[in-house]
This record gives sequence, structure tokens and C-alpha cells, in this order.
Amino acid sequence: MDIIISNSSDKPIYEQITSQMKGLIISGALPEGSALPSMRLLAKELRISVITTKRAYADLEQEGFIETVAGKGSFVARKNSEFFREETLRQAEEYLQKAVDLAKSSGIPCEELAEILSVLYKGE
Amino acid sequence: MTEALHIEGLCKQYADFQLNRVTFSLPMGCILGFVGENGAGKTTTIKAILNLIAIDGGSISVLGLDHKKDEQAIKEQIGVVFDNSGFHSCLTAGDIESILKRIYKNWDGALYRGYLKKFDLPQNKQIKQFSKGMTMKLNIAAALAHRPRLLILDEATSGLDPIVREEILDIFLDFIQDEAHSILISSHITSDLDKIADYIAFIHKGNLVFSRPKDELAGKMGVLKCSALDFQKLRASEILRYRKSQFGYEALLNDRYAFTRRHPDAVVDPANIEEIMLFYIRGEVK
Amino acid sequence: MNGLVVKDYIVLKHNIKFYLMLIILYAIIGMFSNLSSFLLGVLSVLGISFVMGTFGYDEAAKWDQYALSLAVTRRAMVRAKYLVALLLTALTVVLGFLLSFVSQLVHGNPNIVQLMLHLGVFTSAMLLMTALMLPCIYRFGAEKGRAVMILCILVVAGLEGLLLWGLEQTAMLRIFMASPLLTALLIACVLLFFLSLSYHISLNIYQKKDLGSSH
Repeated sequence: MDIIISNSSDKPIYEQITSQMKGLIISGALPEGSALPSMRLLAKELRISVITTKRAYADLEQEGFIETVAGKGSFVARKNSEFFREETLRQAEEYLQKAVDLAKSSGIPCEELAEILSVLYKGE
Repeated sequence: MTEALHIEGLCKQYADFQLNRVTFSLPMGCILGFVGENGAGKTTTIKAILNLIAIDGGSISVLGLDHKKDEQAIKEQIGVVFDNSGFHSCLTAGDIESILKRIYKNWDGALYRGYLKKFDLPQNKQIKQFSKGMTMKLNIAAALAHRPRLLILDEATSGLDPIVREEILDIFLDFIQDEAHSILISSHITSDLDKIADYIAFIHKGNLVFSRPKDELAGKMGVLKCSALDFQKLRASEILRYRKSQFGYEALLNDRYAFTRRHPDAVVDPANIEEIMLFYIRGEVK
Repeated sequence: MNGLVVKDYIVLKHNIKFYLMLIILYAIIGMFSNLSSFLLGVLSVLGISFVMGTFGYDEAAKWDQYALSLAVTRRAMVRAKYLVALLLTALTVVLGFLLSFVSQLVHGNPNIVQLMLHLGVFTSAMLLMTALMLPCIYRFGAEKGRAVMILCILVVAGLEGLLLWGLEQTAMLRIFMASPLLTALLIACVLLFFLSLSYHISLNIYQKKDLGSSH
């Protein structure tokens, strides 16, 4: 499992951890039920504060990616299709927002944009 | 008990120096870096925690116990390493075991000898023939072998070469893998603390300047470099401290992420602890 | 406290060569000259220097500050030092007895009574010196303590001379000589009183001491 932390990134360290772990989980590199390194081990190896790893794991748990069992550690949560759909939808929305912003800035109307979308979706 | 150490309003008066109502705490399971210049009061504070000096005011609790009333119970559960005080230079690692096993109830000889082996330290060589790094490792082995829950280290990494420092920091990080363990480490070499500390307490001329999670400092603060014109446009609330140079301004930002969102073109670098300290000592408030 | 006594034992063991040479040198001189009082005098001064030495080594290592961060009380620190001083006194007395006795045998005129008398005088002198010196060291440190030691030796020697002279003048000596056991007991009681007073003064000084000179 690779996690790369940069101190000069424009993202806080806990966000770098959560986004990389999400990526690993969604791509299947971290299969469901697999154990994650303990927060303390992760902090030690990455030379970051245990407060940071705690926060990252708490965020991941809150978003449903991982489950923490007291005394046992943290595990990748069982795949919940509803939850994955939501997450994918959220990401799609993010990209669409970018497209909308771009279109607005050049005065492209909503109808034209919707047309492109439906063409793209049908796989032309 | 969730705090390994709690210091409240600590005062100590000397003829030429005073600790002035120093307050900070070390949550259990964490490493607190205690930073400040030489003579800022770090060692005095540590001596007060250990009841080596009488305090003039305030209270100190260590592992939930009163530092004076429960001194003996505390000392069975802590390990201490000083930079310039310790065993006689004529003693060997083996001698130290003969002494310490009679001092600590829960001395673990096997653990001690395990550390000696791990750190590559000979049993029968006198300390005076050790390098500074070896002496420090021996002191750490001696401090860990009664399985303490709190380590207190006064300038334990200063004067060591970078490779030995790194080894020693690894020892500390191994120790902290148990979440009932905590470390207070004082140093004027802040780069070590950049790496391992969870909290930073900064003392200056006997006054505590701040005590905060490192994530709120090095992880969040930034140094803005800008022209005098741009500096005038900044709101006072946006910056903590600033310094003016001949060729522009440098300002310490409380939240570099929020700042770059508002000003995407600004030149902002992450701030390390040393820079933050310098801004607090030398910088001005807008 | 055991650990502290063991510490002094090991430290002295590592530094014994120098002292051993001195002891052998004086033992030879003493044996040739058949002056048991000279030999005993030298030995008792050496014994006291041993005690002083342990304080000096402690100071060089800044040991006290470190020791008190271990599971060691201030009371144990002071107690251990008094115990070490007593043990060293006992060692000196045994050594002094053996050396003097051998010397007397060699010269063919063993005089146990005289030897015991000398031994008694020097033992009490050593204990008295210990009692005077230790509080001074706790108050002023080992460095200045050295000067105090020399002063102590002079004071104790002077006091003993004065005492002996006084006793002779008042014919008390004859009374004492008539019942040596009672006299020995009396002297032991006086010494015990001084030692215990000295211990309490040292403890009181040490309990209030701030360790480490600078902030």
C-alpha cells in the first residue's frame, strides 16, 4: 500500500491521506474487510502526527469507507452499493460543476450543454 | 485520566530569571515538543516537574498524580534523560544494570540487555570511551528498561549527528506505539520536533507563548511573501505576525489553505516550527 | 537505597588504583617505623578522602539531579551517603588493625591494649569528622567541602588534644582508665548523638535544596 505525503501540497496532510485511501479502496487495491495499518504505525512510518492520522481515519469512517473495531483496529468497510453509488454520483457532480462553470464563463447556454451531455452519454 | 502531564500556572523565581505562570498539558499517547531558546526556561520547567526544584506557585500533575505528594509513585513510572547529567563516566553498561535493578521495582534486565544489543552498545566498556551518540542511547536504554509510561527528555538529541538523531527518533516513535505511553521532549533543534511531535509548547523568556497541536502550526500555518503594496491590502485578522525587509514583507498566516483559496496568486510557503518561533519572537502584530 | 550504596562501591572500585598505591606506600612506611599511630592516622585520613571522593565523582557527573529523577528519595540519597561513610570507616578500622598488628608482630612486641586504644581514638576521630563534614558538603558542595575537610581534621585533632590535656589536668583520665568499658560506652553514645544530629542536619539541607545550579 503506497501513500505519498507532501508537505508543500495545497492539500492538508489528513486530506492527502483520506483521498489516497479512498482511491485505493474504490480501485479495489484495498479489498473490503482488509486491515488498515494502525494509526500509530501510519504516523510513525509517514513521520506525521498521530493526531493527523486519527483525523484522517475518523473522516474515512464517517464517510463509510472504513470501520474501526475497538481493540482490533480499522478495516475497509463492506461494499455497500448504495453508498458507492452516492460517492460516484458526488464525484460526477463535481466534474459536471466544472463543466458548467466553464460553459457559463463563455456564455454557452444550458440547453447546448445538456445536448453535449446526452450525446456523450449515449457514446457517440 | 487522559493527560500524561498537566502544568497549571507554574511560577519559579530566580535572581535573574523567572518562570511566569506556565500552563500546558500533554495528552496521553502523544509526543509534546517543548521548544525555546537556550535559557528560555525549558530545563527549569522539567526540573519543576521532577520536583528537583521547589516551585513558587502553580500545580503539576504527572500521570494524574501530584508531582510532590506522589513523587515516588510517579518516578517508578517515568523515564528521564538529561543532556548533561547522568551516570559517572567510569561506569559500564553492566554496572548501570547492577545499580538500577536495585532502584526500580519493575526493572526488566532482559529488556535492558535487549536494548543494549539493539543499539550496539558493549556491556563492559566504560562510558568515557563512548561517543556522544552511544552515551545518549545508553541513557535512553536505562530510561526505558523499567517500562515507564512517560518519557521526559531534556535536549536528548542536541549535539548528535543526523543519522544517530534519526535512530533515536525511531526509538521514540516505537515507544509511542503503545497508546498509554507519552513523551515530553525539550529541544532547541526544532527540525527533530517537526518530524515526531504531536504538540508543540513554545516558551520564551519564561513565558509560554503557545501550546498547540503541530497540525495547527506546521500543518496549517504558512509564510506569505509579498510587496509592501499587497501587504497594506491585507486585513489584520489574516496574519499572525509580520516582518518587514528591504525588499518586501513576510507574514505568518494562520491558515495557508484558506489564504490561498482567497488569494490564489499569492506566494505562500509552508511554515516550519523554527520559522513560526522566529515570527513570534521577532515579528510584529499588524 | 541499596542501589546507591552499590553505585558508590562500583565507582570507588573503578578508581581504587590510586588509593591502593597510597595505602601500600604508607603501610610499608608504617611497618618499618613501627608507629601504629602514624599508620592509623594516615589510614583514617585516606578513609575520609574516600568519602569525599564519592561526593566529588557525583558532582562531576551531576549525579544528584539524575538520581533524583529515578525512583530514589532525597532521604535515601542522604542515608546512603552516611551508610557509605560508616562502611568505609569500618573498612579502615579493620585494615588499620590488621596492618598495625602485623607490624607489631614483625617487630616482636605485640601490644593489643595499646593498639585497641589507638584504634578507638582514630575511629572516634573519623566518625566525628564524618559528622562534621557531611552537612558542610551538603551545604557548600564537594569542592568547598575539601577545604572544610582540612579544617575539620585540624579542629578534631585540636579538640582531642585539648580534651586529653583537660582530662589529665582534672585527674579524670585516671577515673576513665579505671573503667575503660564504661568510657568506651560513653564515647560511643556521644558519637552516636553527633552522627544522628549530623544526619538530620544534612537531610534538612538536602530536602530543601534546588538541584542544578543554572536555570
